[in-house]
Amino acid sequence: MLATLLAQATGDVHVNVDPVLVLLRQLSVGSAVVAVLLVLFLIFFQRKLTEGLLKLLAFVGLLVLPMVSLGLGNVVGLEQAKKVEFCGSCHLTMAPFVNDLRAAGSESLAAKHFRNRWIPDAQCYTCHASYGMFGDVQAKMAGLNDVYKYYTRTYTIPVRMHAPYENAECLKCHENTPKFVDSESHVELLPAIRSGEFSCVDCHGPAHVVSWDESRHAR
Amino acid sequence: MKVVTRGKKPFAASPLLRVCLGLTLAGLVLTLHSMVRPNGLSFTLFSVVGTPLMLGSVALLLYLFLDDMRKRHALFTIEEYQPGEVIIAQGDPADRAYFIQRGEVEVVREGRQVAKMGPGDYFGEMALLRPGARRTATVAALTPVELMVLGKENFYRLLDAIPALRLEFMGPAAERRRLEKEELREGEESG
Repeated sequence: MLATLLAQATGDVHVNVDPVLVLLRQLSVGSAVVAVLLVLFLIFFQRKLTEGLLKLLAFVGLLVLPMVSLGLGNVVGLEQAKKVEFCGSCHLTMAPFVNDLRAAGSESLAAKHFRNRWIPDAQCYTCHASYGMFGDVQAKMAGLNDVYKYYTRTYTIPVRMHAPYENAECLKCHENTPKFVDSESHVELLPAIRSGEFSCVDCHGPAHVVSWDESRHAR
Repeated sequence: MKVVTRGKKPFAASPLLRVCLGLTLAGLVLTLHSMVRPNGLSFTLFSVVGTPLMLGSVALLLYLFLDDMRKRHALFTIEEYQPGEVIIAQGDPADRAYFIQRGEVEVVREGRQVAKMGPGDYFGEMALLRPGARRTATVAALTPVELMVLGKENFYRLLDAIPALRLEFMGPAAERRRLEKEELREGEESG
């Protein structure tokens, strides 16, 4: 019964394909549900409990279970935040990009990568989070800023990147691959590509092909 | 008799426990929301609001546990009495000593006031020095009184920790015992 409920509560097949992630999510939700029930029990029946039992239940319901749920929830949440569906949940600003990604006939660089599964999963995140040591942190901080702007309707259309796209995000996968090295122009332009003087998108773009319906962004 | 006890508030009665329950409940709701409806807003609320709420609750709970433990292991508890309230009654079993922090008390023996005590004075310690003894007088509050109360176990622990205190207690105790015997003798002679 509980397993069925958990499966229903966590059964978003679009977001969860990794079985480990699904398990962690179920554990997080399960701990949170039990903790909520315990907290409600303590709120309403606190006075009827002995001091020892109250402390034991408080330890489990206020410390152990919430920490399990919190820890797993953060892991699961950070992984979920890498999914294309998550990026697309900011419909007004990101949906055009996700639509382009999934459009069968789109010739954008992003659509080709998505359609051909050159990047198998977390496509937005793979290209837009820096490969550096603090890439994940920078991406999350930028994401927080985006969420704030989105829900306060302080973004501008068309949305732009926080900073110019860096070739390093392409090179982290492509540099030194046979196809990349075999191209004379790549070898010739490599110093300029590395320094950012020359952008990959200049030749291989456009990165995205999006159309904006301005009427949807009325404030 | 109403005795207001401070410094020994039970874990269950602490208002901080209710704060913990509220914070955790709010944090858990945000956690569940972000798990069931994963999107930018729910995850931001979970990370920026829910996580600090639950961590704050855990910090408060740990404080409560430690505070409770500290109170349970404290040498003294503090009690407050209102004027007229009896603190100890003659003939009762003796298990605690009292140290006056604030206010004034009267010592009554056989219905007669024999002494008044104020801040810095202590009473009830004599009985602790004689196992199985009973209170030899009644002590009642004359004004609002705040007392530091020392139980029998802690009294002996204190004497073990600070041997010099034995002299501090033994001297006056012997003197009081002598006075009690004298009073008793006088009473018998006059009776």
